[in-house]
Amino acid sequence: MLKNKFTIFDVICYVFLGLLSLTILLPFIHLLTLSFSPSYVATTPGLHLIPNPADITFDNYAKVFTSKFIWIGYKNTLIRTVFGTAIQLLFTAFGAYVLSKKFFPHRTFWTFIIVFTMFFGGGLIPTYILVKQLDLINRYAALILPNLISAFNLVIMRNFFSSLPEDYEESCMIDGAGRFTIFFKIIVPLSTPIIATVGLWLVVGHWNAWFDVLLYIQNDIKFTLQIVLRRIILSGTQQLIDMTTAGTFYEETNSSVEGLKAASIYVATIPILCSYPFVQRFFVKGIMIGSLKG
Amino acid sequence: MTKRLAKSISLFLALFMVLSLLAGCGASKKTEVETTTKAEATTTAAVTTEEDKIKWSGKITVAPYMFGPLDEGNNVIKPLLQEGLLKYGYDVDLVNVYIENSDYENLLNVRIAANDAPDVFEPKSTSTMRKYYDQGSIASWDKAFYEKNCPTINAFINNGCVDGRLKNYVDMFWDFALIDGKMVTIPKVAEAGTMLPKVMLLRGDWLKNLGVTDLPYTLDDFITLMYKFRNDDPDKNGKKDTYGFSTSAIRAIFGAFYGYTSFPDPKAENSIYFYDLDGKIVCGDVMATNKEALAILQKCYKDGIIDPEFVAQLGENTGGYWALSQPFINGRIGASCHAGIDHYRLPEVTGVDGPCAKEYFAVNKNYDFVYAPWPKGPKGNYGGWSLGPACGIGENAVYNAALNKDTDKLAAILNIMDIFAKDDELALLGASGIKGTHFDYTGTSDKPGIKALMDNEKLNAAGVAAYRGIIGGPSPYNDNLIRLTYYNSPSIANMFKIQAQEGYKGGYNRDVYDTTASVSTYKQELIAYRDETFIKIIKGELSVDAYDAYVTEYLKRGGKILTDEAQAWFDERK
Repeated sequence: MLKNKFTIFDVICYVFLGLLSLTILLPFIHLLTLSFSPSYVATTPGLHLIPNPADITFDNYAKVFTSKFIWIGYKNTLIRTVFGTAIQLLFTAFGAYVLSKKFFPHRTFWTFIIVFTMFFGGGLIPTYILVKQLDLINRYAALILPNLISAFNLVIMRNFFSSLPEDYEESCMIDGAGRFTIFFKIIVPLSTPIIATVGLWLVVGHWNAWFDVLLYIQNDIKFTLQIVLRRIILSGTQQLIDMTTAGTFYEETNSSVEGLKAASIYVATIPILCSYPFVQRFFVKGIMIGSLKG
Repeated sequence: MTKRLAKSISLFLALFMVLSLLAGCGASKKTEVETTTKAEATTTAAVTTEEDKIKWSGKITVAPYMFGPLDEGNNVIKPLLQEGLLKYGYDVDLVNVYIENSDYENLLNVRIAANDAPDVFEPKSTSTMRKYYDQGSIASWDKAFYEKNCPTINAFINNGCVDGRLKNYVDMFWDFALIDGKMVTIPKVAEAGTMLPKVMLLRGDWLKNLGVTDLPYTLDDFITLMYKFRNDDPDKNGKKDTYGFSTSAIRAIFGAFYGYTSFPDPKAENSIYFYDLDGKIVCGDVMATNKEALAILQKCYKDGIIDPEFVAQLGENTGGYWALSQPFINGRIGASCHAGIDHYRLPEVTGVDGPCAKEYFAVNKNYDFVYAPWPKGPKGNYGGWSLGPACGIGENAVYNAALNKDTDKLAAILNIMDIFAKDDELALLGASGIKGTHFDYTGTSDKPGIKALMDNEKLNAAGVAAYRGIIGGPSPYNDNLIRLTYYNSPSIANMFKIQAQEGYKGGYNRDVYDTTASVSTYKQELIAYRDETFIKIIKGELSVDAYDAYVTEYLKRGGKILTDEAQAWFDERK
């Protein structure tokens, strides 16, 4: 029986990983402290790790959460993330399944066309023109349809589907199952790792996306969370800019720009942080999935 | 599914994909035809409207500077404005196009490229305006066309604006509005020199602790005080952790020697300035007097008077609102001229904190700051920033190039701007909103001002200042409105009062204030070279004598071309 020896190598590993963890944790702790700090603490330079209990303030979070658009932003982001991810996963899986079949005519050609788009794209302006001419400006569809199928995700999924044994499908076909039945009842359950992995990427992408909202959405009732948070941070600075308007109105709060930024980061990140542990096992398993033989 | 059916379906799908590639090709022609048809319809409508007492009707899209998007459901201003314009015979549908201000230029460029630019938008700078003109993205018209459609504005500007205060700048305003003899905008008119005027500030607590009662008026006195700030423990904490000054006050040292370079200014104003020295145009970055300033700065740096972080800090701002000087507020340096007078206005004087004053008092609960004069050099020069004509900032309106073909609509827009210039009530409604809801009157009956009742974001959401491009920008053309919002404002009065003191109005006017053709080609490289050399000299990595070699190299790298262009520009206007 092998004994577990605690070697010097293990010590070095633990020390290295500990330091690496600190480099990740310290900024989070610093931001957390800043988010509960008033202006006179937030503007002083240096690392803020342990807040002074007398200095703790909730004004930054109050300013973030009392913004009427924060809940609208959450709602729109959830709509976009849920529907966007579901629709994108569905179409990506459809495309990947088809491309994984060896008997699909001219499979190599179509794969090349799709991979080509990974390297060469129309760019921002043609995409904007396309979205505009499809009358998608100011609609949720503008945030989902232009990036409906990512070539990268498609290739990753295709590789996974290719690795699944064809025997399952053949036996189902013998039993009379059609292609859609095979896909939904056999392929999808077997592909949970890759679906979860790609799904997580899509969720994070939708949650963090902001530039397309800036470009295509005009009504503030359709702004997503990132745009709202961006405006909260910018409005903390920008509303003070218009020096030609006399008697600008100032709110009396204890919030500061740095504190607002920190609170906004936490408000935006906490949902992702909370949901990540539930999908982590899929992520770990699926991270190398794309390297399987195609 | 049979093989044959599967093959047919895949062939159909392949054909569908190929057709979809070509789908985009046909649409544009249809759009052009529609646009032409609409323009013809509008023109036709305009021709026949005199009989109906409607001079023009249609939609005008405006993309002004906005703090936040318009809330169409709560837009109380738009119907009132449209009703007011209807009385003048203009049945317009005013549409605000929200373009996020922090990324305005990029987002606007996408729209321009996609042929989706609004009718009225902002160029953000004179060089961008020129770029749009060169690309054919903005409309242009003859001065006669403008004089016919904007008689009120024309008279207002040519008479020197409110009380003729800006009479000396009228030619300058027109220089900004004309490109190749054509008007591309109506000049933005602002009191040059009072647009965000900077002020020298000193820490009041340090002066008190050091027993300094007289403010420094000369450069020698200023430097002596800076040595005290560094060496005499002004914050009385037993540590030598304070410095005299940082990035912003460096410009005051240059200014004391008539060295009017824009170094070191990382903000948008960072540019190359040109001055008239006895009829000869000289570039501010290579003036002979810069060498004397650099010698003093080198000595100060060597003696530890200048904050070593002056290089890293963006004009002393380490984040957040640009006007904040964190080293000054946090007690690291004792002198700063980073922000403007209005940023540090005091509530007991103006009724409301300046944004930097608010931050300063949040950090320094019992201490105050002191407004100080600019240090005067041996020949009496002083100043720390370029006054410049405020009309070049870029918040004036320009117009979509499509209006070159739809001159009736362009005439209607100019007429509407003229209406706002002469109708006080309508101008106030558009710019400030409804009394009691969005603003209230302040001041006295002979000098009334106005005070906003909500922040700018909420005002914009309600439609206030949401059509600023046609109301007249942040500097409107309505006499009454300017008085209410500017000249009668306590904070502006405070600004004038401070500047009226001897040595406090410290700025210098550039003699060439337009952007010449080659500036965009050479500017970035020259500024980078200038900054690198000046920093090395100040830090002692290069001797002060290296300045001569720098001048030669600067001119060789494009400085001479820019100077010659500036000279030609200046000579044209003599």
